Amino acid sequence: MRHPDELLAEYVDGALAEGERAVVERHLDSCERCRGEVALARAAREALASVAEIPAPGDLGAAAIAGARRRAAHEPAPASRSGQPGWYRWAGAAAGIAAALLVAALVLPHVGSSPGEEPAAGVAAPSAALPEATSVEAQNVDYDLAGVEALATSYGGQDRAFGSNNQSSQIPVAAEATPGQRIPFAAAVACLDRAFTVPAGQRGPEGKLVRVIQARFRGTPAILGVYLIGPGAGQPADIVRVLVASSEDCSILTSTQATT
Amino acid sequence: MDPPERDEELVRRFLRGDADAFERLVERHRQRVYNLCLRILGDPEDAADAAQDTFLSVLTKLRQFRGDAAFTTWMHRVTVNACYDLSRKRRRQPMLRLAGDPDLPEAELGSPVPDHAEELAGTHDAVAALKEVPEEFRVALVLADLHDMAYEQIAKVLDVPIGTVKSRVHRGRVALAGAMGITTREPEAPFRASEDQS
Repeated sequence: MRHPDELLAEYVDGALAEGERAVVERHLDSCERCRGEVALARAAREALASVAEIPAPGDLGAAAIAGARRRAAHEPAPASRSGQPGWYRWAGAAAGIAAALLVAALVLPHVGSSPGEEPAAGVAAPSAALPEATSVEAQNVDYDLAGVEALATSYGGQDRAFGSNNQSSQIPVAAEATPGQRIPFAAAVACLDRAFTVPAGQRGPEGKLVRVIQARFRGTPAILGVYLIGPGAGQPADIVRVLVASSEDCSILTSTQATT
Repeated sequence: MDPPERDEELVRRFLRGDADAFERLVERHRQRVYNLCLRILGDPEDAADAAQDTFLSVLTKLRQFRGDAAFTTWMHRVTVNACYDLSRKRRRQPMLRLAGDPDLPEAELGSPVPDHAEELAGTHDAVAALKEVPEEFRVALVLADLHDMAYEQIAKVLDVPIGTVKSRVHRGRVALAGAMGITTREPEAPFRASEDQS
């Protein structure tokens, strides 16, 4: 006997059209199993109706909001909404660029200079000229969020320059952590894809992957991927995004981005 | 009073550089995302972690949101995937194979082991019993009966045929009743039905 499972949910909901309801009821007349299930399903549906919502923690989403503010700070809001005169925005932009240059001067000498590591090739080069990554850099570094942001801005980004309150961050250069077993390049990329691919079947992170780093993030063994993202149509990349995934289970640890 | 701004409009504003729009999106959906995570994962700390991951993923992926689905559908999909990711992480613990269910696919054996085995014999409240419902059924059930989402929309969230959604919801309800200790006088095994694809 074929049981009309697909109709039973809507039958319990009371949402079946008359014809289908008649089909189900004829089946129920002769099927003890389905009669039992309908009774159970009704009881469960009724029980769930009394389940109340629980208040969400107040700071839920705060990290993402902070990331959004960092991103938006270097993507000017539409003029119609800014409410600020043009000169004000230009003054802000000029101050930002000056700050970016200062931060770049502070950060770039440290890039890739962790103990025992060769300086990272190509980091100071224009983003557009960077080749796709083909290997994993093992770094003896324990990154924090500020360190990841500094990594993003080291590619010429302005993240530090606009709107960030953290003036002291730079790419961390010393840590006691050891990277442990080396992760093959393909496995590292697969891990980043898995962590940052949202709907099943869709492609992984957008942009050109120019650097893969094996290190730690807040003590957790991690893979950091640096992606250059352009507007398309052959235009040079204008966004640097750093995605950080746990190398233990490929879960998301953090992400940040900066404009070039 | 102006009607509330649509999610898709907030997305558009954020992509044009307005961070307040993203904050409004988070505030608007925070409660729903957290409760969805809570009912899927069954643990407040895991739910908070998965919800945080959800909003970070939304931020990361928002440029890929093409508007061909409603934002809420897309965001629910991101949320469910964040829960699946965290659930996989937790699944390193030993699992309890459901009695009388030898044919259940491996992917459906996601329900966490109950904290106290003796509870299996007693009557639970619905929230506690939900943890014992196989994960794929539980997700569909939570979306349908706790989040009042239409089957068609759930099908889009889960990227499965609508018939599969209806079947999962029904079997989820039956499993929940069983986990709550509710019985009928016709105690035939509830999980034998095949999951028909439409």
